[in-house]
Amino acid sequence: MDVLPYILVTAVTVGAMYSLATLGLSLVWGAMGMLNMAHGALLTLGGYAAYSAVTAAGLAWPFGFVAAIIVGALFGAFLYFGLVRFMLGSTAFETNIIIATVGIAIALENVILLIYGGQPLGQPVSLDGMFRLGQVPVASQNLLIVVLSVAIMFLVAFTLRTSKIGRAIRATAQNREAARLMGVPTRSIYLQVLAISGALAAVSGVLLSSITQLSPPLGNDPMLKAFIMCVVAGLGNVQGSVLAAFVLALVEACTQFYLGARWGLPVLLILVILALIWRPYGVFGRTQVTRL
Amino acid sequence: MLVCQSVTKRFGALAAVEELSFEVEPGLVLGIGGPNGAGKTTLFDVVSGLQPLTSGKVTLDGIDISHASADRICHLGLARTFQLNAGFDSMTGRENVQVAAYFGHRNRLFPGLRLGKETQRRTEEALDLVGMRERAAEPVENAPILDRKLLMIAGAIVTEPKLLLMDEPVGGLTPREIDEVEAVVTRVVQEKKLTVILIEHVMRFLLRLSDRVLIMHHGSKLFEGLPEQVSDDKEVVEVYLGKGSKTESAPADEEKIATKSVAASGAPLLSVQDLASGYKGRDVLHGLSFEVPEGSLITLIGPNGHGKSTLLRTISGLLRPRGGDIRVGERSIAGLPTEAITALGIVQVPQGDMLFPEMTVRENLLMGAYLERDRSNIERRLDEVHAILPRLKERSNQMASTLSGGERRMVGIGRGLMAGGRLLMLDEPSLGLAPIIIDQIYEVVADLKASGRTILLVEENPMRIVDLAEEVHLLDNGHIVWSGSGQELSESSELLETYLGG
Repeated sequence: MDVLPYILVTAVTVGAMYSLATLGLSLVWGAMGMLNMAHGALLTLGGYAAYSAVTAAGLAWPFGFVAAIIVGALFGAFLYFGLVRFMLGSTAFETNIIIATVGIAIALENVILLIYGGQPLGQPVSLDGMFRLGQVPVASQNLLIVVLSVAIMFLVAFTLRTSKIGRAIRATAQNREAARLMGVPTRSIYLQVLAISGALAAVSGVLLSSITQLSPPLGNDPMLKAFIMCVVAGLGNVQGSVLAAFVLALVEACTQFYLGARWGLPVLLILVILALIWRPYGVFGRTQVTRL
Repeated sequence: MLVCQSVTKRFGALAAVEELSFEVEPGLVLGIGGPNGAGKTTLFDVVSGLQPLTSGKVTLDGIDISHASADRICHLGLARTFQLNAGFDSMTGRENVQVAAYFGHRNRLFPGLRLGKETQRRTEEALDLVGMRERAAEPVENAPILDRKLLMIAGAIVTEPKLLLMDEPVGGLTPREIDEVEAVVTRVVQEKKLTVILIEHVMRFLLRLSDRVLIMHHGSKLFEGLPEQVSDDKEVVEVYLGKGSKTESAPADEEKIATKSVAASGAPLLSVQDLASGYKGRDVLHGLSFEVPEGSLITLIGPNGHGKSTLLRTISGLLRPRGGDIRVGERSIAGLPTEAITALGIVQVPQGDMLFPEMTVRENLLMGAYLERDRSNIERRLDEVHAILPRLKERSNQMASTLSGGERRMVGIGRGLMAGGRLLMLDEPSLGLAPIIIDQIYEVVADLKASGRTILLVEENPMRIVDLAEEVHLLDNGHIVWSGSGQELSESSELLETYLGG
């Protein structure tokens, strides 16, 4: 049996999810120099929000996504009002915010543990059924993941490229002070970026839990991978990190299949180290960090 | 002593230093001048081992140091001071010099716990030599620029070098301070029998100290010879000093226009009263007052580090004033957020362009009109800007990061114009540009003035604005020390001499 098509299907699905998670992380880093360590916890939160919307509130499954987006965006906004607002502008912002968001991540994970308990739950927000792609059987859920992720990524990229808010976000990322002089309310831009990133994380959390299971540490592993991909691509480089996500997902899938599951992360990390020795600013990074 | 043979340093396609050859004789001072971006600091970086050279050869006393590391070169007897103030901020001045004395003289793979008598003695001697012995007990972060510069010199000579490289030892200092540094350098060179290479923009300083002068332009040697010959060299005068550098009195009709427009205007568009502002508990501006009448061009001039940018940043709300008031018409804008001040039509074109590098020229311009909602207004302004700055239309879809310095400056001004504000504040529009480009920029400024716009402009070099400005204020250490018309300024060579070092 030829295994390559199966590996490809897995890689594309996982890559799509990774890239969605990476997109949010990269956006926040690029726009405001903030490494949001609570990004993983936001993924988890999104997954549980969708779960509750469908099981407790009894909504139809597509509304799970809506619930996740709302909760994720609200939590992103909370990060701004509760944290970023006070720390922004201090000289040590970039390091302080890492510590602070690690704290938020731990707290959020434990709140979820308190409410939902530690036992894994099944994600109801998913498509049943299979279809055949040539000879290869593919779960409909995998298709949903890929289509949704790619659609969202194009939407975000399109918004950043062409819309006024997108231009304001890029301007703020590239030169905050100049953006302020143009009349851009940079603080509200930061709020919007955090909300968008929260929503992106929540959606990727729903997708992720639909092919694994819901558990409080759900987001930790993807967060680590998303971080790796951001660094490989060059921090803040959104398009590059999406590409890196797919490539690394493919590498991971191959390694896991041919060498065994436990070799996935080590091989990934070795590749990352080699890539960074070769290109210290990231594979797509330039010496001068390009943002957004 | 030091021999450079066809030294070349490239950054990608750009040759910062190209095929440069020169020699320095022992005991002499070689002065290197040239416009910004000529490759002077890069040359120092290459010679002192901070940057690897692309090709060529550097020898110090016959030893090839082309590829030696910076600490090895230092131990071979080459010391260097930096353009910016490279000190260890939390240490006192004395400790800074001690570190240099201890580590700079020879290789200390395993630093000991004590400094040793010899190190102490050399430290005190060096501090004495630069006249900093009494002032060396304070942490460097609180020291004024002059003291930092002197400490850096002390830190360099304490390593007992044979050759001392000095990168802009008097950059950003006042004329009085420049004289002080000059005396110190003269003393150091004589007592220590040092060989010196110094980079400096302040020509007076450069010419007085140097035994030989080398003028660089675009990474190559433009001139090498005796200091007296520099001002006779036509090429140098044109490239370095610029064609417009000789002050000529303004034509009489310009004066008439000036007086007329001041008289015509009523209430000032902007008035600054008793303004105090600064950074981190230190005031840079102390009680500044002036007015900008509608339709006028008001200029503040003063050396670097005397509060010009601070003033504009305070008006535009990037900095909060610590005292006094800023009014637009009758309304106080002190303490308002920047976007509110921009919305009132007070638009700052920041120093050094601050473009959005990964956006096209068009996108940069559109950002300028961020607060404008009406699309037809935006299109109209875009046409206006293209009419004033036609180059920007050609470059519309080019990334801002790929533009030349002059083009960037134009995008910066164009972006400011796109806001459609009532007052345009320009922060050193000539900074870092070649004289011929400065001429172009000032033609644009003259056009803007002619079209009736109100402009507040700050500059270090007053030469280009004397013919344009209705009123010129001289800024010295955060105070306005003189005000008058551009005409009066150009006639008062004494003032120029005192505050701008001639």
